[in-house]
Amino acid sequence: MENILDIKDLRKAFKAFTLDGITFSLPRGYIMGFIGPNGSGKTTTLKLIMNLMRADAGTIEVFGQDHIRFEREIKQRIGFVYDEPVYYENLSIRRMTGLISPFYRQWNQPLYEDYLRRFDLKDDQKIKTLSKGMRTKYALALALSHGAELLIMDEPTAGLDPVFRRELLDILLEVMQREENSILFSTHITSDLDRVADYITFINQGKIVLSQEKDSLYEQYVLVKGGPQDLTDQLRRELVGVSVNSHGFEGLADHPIRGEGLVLDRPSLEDIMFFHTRGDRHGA
Amino acid sequence: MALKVMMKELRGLSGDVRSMLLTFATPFLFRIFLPGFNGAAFPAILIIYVILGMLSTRTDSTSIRTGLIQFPVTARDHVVGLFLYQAAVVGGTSLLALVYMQVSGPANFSADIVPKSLGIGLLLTGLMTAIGLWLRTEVARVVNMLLVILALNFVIFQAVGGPVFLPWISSPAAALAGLGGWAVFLVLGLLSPLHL
Amino acid sequence: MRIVLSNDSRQAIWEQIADQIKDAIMKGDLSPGDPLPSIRALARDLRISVITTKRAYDELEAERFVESVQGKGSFVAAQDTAMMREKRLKTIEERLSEALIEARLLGFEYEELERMLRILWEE
Repeated sequence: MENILDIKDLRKAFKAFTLDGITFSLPRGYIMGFIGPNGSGKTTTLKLIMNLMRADAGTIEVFGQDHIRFEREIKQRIGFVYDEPVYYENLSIRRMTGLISPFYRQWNQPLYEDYLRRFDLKDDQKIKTLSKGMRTKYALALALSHGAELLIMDEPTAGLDPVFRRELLDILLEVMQREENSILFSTHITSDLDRVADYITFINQGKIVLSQEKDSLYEQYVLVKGGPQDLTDQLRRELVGVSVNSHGFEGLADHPIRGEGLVLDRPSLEDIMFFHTRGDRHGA
Repeated sequence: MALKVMMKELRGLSGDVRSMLLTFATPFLFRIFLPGFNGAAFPAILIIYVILGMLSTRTDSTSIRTGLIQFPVTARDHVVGLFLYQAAVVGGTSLLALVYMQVSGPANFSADIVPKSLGIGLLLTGLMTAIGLWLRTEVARVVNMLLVILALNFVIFQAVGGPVFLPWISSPAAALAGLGGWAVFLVLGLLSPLHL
Repeated sequence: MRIVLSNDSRQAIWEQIADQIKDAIMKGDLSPGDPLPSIRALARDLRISVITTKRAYDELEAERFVESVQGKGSFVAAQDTAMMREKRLKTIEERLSEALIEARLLGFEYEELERMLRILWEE
């Protein structure tokens, strides 16, 4: 199966933080949720893919091509929705699009206009009058209108009202009806991805914690709950992370757990993220 | 592709009528409402003032990021295009200044002021863009602002000095030096590590 | 075709889908030869992962409920009535066994269970 995105051993060091050993792939035709707490390195990774900064080491291939040598061709086929969409503030939407569209070989004007209508955006609105949500919608309209096969989205739902967030997911699912398309969806709001993502890559403190099919994640991880006396030292060691209060505890295990009086439940992506990052660690 | 970026920036500028008018009109307004506002240096002031107005919106990291995210171009394309765009605007403004000189009567101005200001302008935009690419946004902004003030003071000072503007250098030499400096800064700009 | 998913159910989503399609086939709501939605269309409509719908379809194919034709999609397979009956019997057996386990845990006597079964049967 062809991978639309291949990242190997990516490394970038900053003063306060290092991105290290980042390796994962996104096969064509699937949605990957790229999750992690704020500051974990999600945005940095995306910036490295888009060549907004250079890595210290490692390789990135998009559509099977080196992302630096074939940057222009690759960018033709990528739609990027960035966290803080920026444009030339004093221009109208029409003018701004007029600057952008000539650069794309596969620009589809009718489709673009259709998206504008769906998103309630008017041609003559000045960019500087747009709210954050509207800017994201505009960025989305642009990203979807030039035949992009890979959509990279950095926190696209932040700043969007819940109604549009659902609509956004529906739009993405429409995009995925074409088997050639893939979506890399980076977010810390995992409820959007719980159902829809095919793959999950979880990054924390600059390192990849896991990267696998979402369904297998749910089969592998289990939420363990019990009363205070049920949390034995042995159990604690077996848990990835645990959170204790006066009524009992809640923890995450990455393998089957057996125990008297324990309640086992299916964790959400948020639980998986939480216990890897915040819950008290076991023994090690 | 760099040419395409240059054209895009020029179209972006012309689409932003309000900013353009503000930038180009302000020196003229000063001229009209502040009699004695350094008439002899005016063409040079016009060129440098336009640089001030233009550059602040195009060389900070946010603008460069826009240039690289919204457009399928490499950083190299964008930087070269940016330099070309600024040279084009400086060139265009110089033409405007020439026209103004002819209309007001060339006798009012130091000889050679336009070609030599063009040289200064090219040097200045090159330097300021390179600074914008190398230094952090806040620092670059301050440094560039100081540079423009310095340049403005320099030309005003020089213009009252005599009938020939910058007599210690010929017009062709000044223009060439400006172009040469611009090219050097272009190379420096291309070498800057991208950190967006 | 009616598919309603429950997030709370202990059953994995793909299992729920497979079960509900099986039910529809066994009840006759779906006939042999009927086309099923593509895995992508189903994923979109149910708003779930395409890998999940694929797994459900793979399972249905493995159990011979559904067959895929390259380039055309998935269709309800011709059902062997004897085999279907056998499958139904198996399901009844499985569910009764589940009920028995629960009953035993609760400490039921056989007679109590029989009584309950009769009441339910007559409903």
